[in-house]
Amino acid sequence: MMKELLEGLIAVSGGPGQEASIAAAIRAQVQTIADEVYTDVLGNLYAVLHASHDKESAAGEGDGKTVMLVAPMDEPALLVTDIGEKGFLRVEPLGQLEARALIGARVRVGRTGRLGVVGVSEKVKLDDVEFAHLFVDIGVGDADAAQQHVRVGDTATFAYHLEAQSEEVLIGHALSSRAPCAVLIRTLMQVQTRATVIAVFTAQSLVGSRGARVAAYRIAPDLAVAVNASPASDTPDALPGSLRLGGGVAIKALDGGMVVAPGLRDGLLASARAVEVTTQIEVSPRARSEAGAVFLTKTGVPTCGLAVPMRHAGTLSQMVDLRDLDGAIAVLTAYLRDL
Amino acid sequence: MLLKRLTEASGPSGFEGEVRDLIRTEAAPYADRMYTDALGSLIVETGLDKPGPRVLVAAHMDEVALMVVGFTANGLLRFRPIGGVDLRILVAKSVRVGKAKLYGVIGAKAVHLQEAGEREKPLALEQLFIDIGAVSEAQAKEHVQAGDIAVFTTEYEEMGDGRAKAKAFDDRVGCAVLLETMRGSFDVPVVFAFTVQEEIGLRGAGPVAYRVKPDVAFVIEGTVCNDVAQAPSHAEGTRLGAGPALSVVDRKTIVGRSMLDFLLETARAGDIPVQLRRVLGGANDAGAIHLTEMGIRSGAISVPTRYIHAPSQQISLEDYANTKRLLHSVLVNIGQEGALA
Amino acid sequence: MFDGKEWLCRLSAIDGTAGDEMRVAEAVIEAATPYVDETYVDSVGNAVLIRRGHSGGGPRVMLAAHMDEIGLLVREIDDAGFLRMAQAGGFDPRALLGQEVFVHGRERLLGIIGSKPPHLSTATERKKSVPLQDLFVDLGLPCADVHRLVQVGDRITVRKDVVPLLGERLAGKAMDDRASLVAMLVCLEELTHLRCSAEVMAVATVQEEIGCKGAEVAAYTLSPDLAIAIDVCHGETPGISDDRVQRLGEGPVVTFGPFIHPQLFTRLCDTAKRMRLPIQIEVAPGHTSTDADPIATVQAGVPTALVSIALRYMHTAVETLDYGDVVATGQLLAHCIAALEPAFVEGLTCY
Repeated sequence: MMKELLEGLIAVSGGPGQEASIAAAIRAQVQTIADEVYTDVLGNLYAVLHASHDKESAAGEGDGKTVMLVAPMDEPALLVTDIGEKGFLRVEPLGQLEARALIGARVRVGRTGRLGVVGVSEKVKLDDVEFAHLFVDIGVGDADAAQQHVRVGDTATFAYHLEAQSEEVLIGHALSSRAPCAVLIRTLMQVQTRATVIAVFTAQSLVGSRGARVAAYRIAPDLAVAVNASPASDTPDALPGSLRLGGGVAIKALDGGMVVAPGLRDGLLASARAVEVTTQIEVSPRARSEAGAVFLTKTGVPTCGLAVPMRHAGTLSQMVDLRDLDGAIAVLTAYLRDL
Repeated sequence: MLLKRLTEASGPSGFEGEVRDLIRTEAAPYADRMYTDALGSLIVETGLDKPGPRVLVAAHMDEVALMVVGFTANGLLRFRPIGGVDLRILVAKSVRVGKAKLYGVIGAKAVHLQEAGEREKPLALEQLFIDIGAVSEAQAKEHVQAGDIAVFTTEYEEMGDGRAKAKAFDDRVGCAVLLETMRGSFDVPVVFAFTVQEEIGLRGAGPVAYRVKPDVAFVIEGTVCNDVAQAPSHAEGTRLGAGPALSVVDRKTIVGRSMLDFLLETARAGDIPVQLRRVLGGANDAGAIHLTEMGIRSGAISVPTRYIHAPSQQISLEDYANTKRLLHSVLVNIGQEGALA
Repeated sequence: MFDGKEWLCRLSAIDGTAGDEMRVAEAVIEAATPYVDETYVDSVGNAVLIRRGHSGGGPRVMLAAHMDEIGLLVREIDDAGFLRMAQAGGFDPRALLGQEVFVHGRERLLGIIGSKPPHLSTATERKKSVPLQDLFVDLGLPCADVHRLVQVGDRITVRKDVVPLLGERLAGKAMDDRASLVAMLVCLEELTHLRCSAEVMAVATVQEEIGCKGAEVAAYTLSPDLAIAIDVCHGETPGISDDRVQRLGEGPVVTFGPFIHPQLFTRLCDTAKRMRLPIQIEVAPGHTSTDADPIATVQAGVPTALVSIALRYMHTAVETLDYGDVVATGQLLAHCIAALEPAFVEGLTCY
């Protein structure tokens, strides 16, 4: 079921600032379970779950509180900055992408979804390739024909789909956002809590958590839990980091924009122990999540986070382990229940 | 001549006083209410009693410049840039320093005295000084103190075929567009804001947007234009004379599709030439405004400016005129039902 | 009687990295309690110390000095029980080599930061500094005990008691920015001797070293009429140009530049002149990299100034300063605040 959900989410494109399609796909998943679903100026999608009062137990800490769950929705994309005379497109990156790693990659561009291939100037040495040397070939003869498919400012997203390496391990080009989104969707489906839960699927995360910032301002939650995918460091000669693929959902201690207060981190750990889920602790100075932006909102939002370990982050073949995702859902569900 | 007076006034980031005073005088006849905020931005309110969406139109007053930070024993001034200055363009330019506006020149070792290969390397900040003619540190300190600012001496002049050159078109050209637009009458409440500190991190515009709380915002800018010798189409950014440039995506803002469609449609209906800004680099006050509070729909319209951040910048006066026409039409159309649907 | 030097030694020794400042907050509140009307810790951990004015309706002034020190976290526990580290704040890894540290696991553990000894390293290796990823903490414990007592994410702080140097000079860890906390306390104490209509909201802020976060949310919450940040700046160091450093022992450093409100800067200078207190002026053409930067643009904008204490060897275990500067900074702030009149504060938005 998780795999099918991810397949559906990854089939829809959503570059930074152009999240309408992916937002619609997520809306279709949460429409029937949420009490309220809406969007905002930046393109964020909100799904509100009002507190369930039918629980038999006495009043708890979560009563009357608003908890924000936040996961990024957008995927790395190429911004079309120029349409040349012969119909080749010039591009710049939105999100962490390395120019030479994209040579030969397939993309879908603009409004018609035309298939294109990333080409490179053959005058440059591979080591020196920058985005100025790349172009996208959409197989048209001139600028006018190209304009039928694309306008300056449109994005091109990568034209791949989800593949299963094994029962547990999945590979896909946009898992860094779609895996956290899937965790939120599945959690919404099963959660029972005294708090009001607002899940925000954020727009424009890859260009600096822009969506998260205005969303947190709108909600001003009492507590926030950010879910993201963070690089696993269990591959040969990987840069330092604490995570292992399949090592369990990671409880965030530190990422590139956030230090989680020890008390909040321990709260998540306690919930994980209560439901006997394997966890690891995240110390990833290179990773990014929406936690840092949410924390800074208004009078300050107590914020913690869960991370899904992901191999080959920043490439078109991101790898996650379903067991880690299931762990994330279980911990998040338990944490919200325990509030 | 508004453009001349605005560009020749001194207004480095944080020191916009001279520009602000000039604008205040120009705006007074058209303002319902006019005030400054804690950072020094000037806010001019018009038609706030009118129905319809509250519109913020913003241009920044500040320019990149230099700040004196110290002295050498022989009376030269050490400086550091305020905002993004390409150090390579500084050598052999003249500046005016401090409140007294003393002339100074930025010199460098004469070509005769250089070692082979030295010329290939750009000069570092440590190798550059402002020379005000002082013979000693003591004499220099009689006239200048650390913290004084230095601005380029460039005069506004028209040149070539419908072009003009000056310093600080970025963004006095925007200030001029706002001042001229203000003379018109619109059916919606419009707040014109002349912001501070754009060049040092878009610092002034956020507090203005927080205070004004507009429904929609437009930023009027001078933007990169590199349609010069040998630049291929995709390295131009914008083209001089091809009309106001509409921002699509820059480093700090992704303009919403409905906003861009509205601007394109407004231009088409008014028969005003426009172009799309074709580069990711650079940013403007929209970056701060559109993330204020719960998010504010923002667009940016720019006058293409060659040699931006250099002492002599160049614009097309036709682009300037068309930018004014476009902003006017925008303010006429924005109140219509479903303008931004 | 408030013994600032004693408090500085005590505060310096407390372990408090970004996100884990609670112990510092408790100490600051204890120190401030005799001089303030109200104290509390806000939702992100800032300690807020409120001293009301003589009469209601006076200006509301925010002071900000940060509690966090730069620190490290356990990134990995290797098979032999050595700890690998990640940074939370800008350390120079070269200054970590051979340092004693505390690892804050289930209990506080003493450790040494080690690396390969010179005998075993190659000549080329010795010419390069050791990067953080090659450094490790040795707890001297069997591997099983390490795993029992420590987990990934635990904090690591440098261990260093304050070293008294000649005269009023002191050296220690976390003088950045515990010295400013003491200056803030000196100010609050001094205000008990002055007639002051302003309400002072002194905030000991969290998470400055990783992006001035505590100050930004505190400014939003308190919405002050004006703010003054207190931090440390670089003391004179051989080989660094004069315009980037200030002198130890020659008084508080008042910053001038586009990020600073011009009238507030002038007022601080005038106050010092009135007090016959020597000050130094630092020129900052751009950002100040202190709590002052985000405070100024919160909400509709806050007139903000910055006063600093000169300090050498920043972000090492031997940050060195002159205690006289700390006291003078507190006094300057107190006398400036006590003399604030409503007309001046209203004028701060009139350019």
